[in-house]
Amino acid sequence: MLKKDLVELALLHLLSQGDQYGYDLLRRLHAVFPDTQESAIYALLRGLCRDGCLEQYQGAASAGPARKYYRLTDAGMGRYGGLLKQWRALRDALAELGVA
Amino acid sequence: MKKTYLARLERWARWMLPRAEAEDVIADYRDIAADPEMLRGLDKPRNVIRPLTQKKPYYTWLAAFAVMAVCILAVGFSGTFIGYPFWMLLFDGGRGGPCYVPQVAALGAITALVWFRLCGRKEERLSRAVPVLLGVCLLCIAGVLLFCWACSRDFEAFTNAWGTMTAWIGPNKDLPISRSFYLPRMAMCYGSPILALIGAYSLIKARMGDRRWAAVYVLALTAITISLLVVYRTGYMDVTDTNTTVEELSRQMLFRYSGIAAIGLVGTGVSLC
Repeated sequence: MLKKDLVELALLHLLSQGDQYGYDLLRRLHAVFPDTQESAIYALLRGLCRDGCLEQYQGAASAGPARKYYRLTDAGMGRYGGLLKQWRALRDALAELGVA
Repeated sequence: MKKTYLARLERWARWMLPRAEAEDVIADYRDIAADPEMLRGLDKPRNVIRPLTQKKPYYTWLAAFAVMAVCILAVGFSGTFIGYPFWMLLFDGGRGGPCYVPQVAALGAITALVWFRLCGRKEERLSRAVPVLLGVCLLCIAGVLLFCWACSRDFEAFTNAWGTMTAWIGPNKDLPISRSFYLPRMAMCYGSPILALIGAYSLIKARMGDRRWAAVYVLALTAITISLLVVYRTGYMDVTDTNTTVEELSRQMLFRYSGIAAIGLVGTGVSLC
């Protein structure tokens, strides 16, 4: 599992908890992965959109321009499940070796 | 800083990404750049856009752009290189050989019409430069057709009038005919590269902003085409042939090239809609 997959897992995890505003997603992930450029995280987000794992919609805004939100699709849920399984297997394997 | 960053990002996005994708990315980055802390850490616009670029649509655009740019530049500059081996393939002005200017111009214009109609973006307000440049192209077309019309009326009177008008250049060593053709021909040959550069610039503007810039490209191509066709036709016109008069040949030019101008104007209108 590469770092890119971990960032992707984190991104899908955040979206599995509810629809997210694009900027918030980027800010939260950038805080967790500070050495990863926001452009790389954003490219992942757009890539997931292109692959049909995410979809975007304009949210209602009381003032100012309408905000764009991202939500997980069924395909995205499937991808999230697959990455989560990989991550758990990796974590268990490392725990077996005594890696704290 | 924010404005400069977003302006550069918009340019890269609109050049490298398909229209809808570019708009999404620009909207997202407007939000992101609104946060001063995020703005400070943002990657260079080119680095933001490059990983988002999909090879197939981007290379398709580059290929279409290359076709359109090569068409207008090759045609536009062909008049200034009459007699050079490479350019003779396109345009053998003055020798009566083959002339592929209309075919190459048609390829460029059709590509522009189809591409920007399918993939272009229409902005709410049309840039003021578009009508100005369209006016310049129209003036060039009108000038060329006026030249054909003047020749078709009474060529001798036109030649004499032209000789008087251009007396300040100095005594005419050759036949008066050569001067009456020479100066307009030179104007058409050396005006065409300028129109070609305007057309190439309008292609970039049509991609990055309003697709209606393509109208400038189409009309510039039309102006270049009829200019160079006149240069081509007058290059081997046999004025000593008693069977066909200069007036008759000029009438033919006027009729044919008015038709090309009309087609160009229709294309311009379609681009503007």
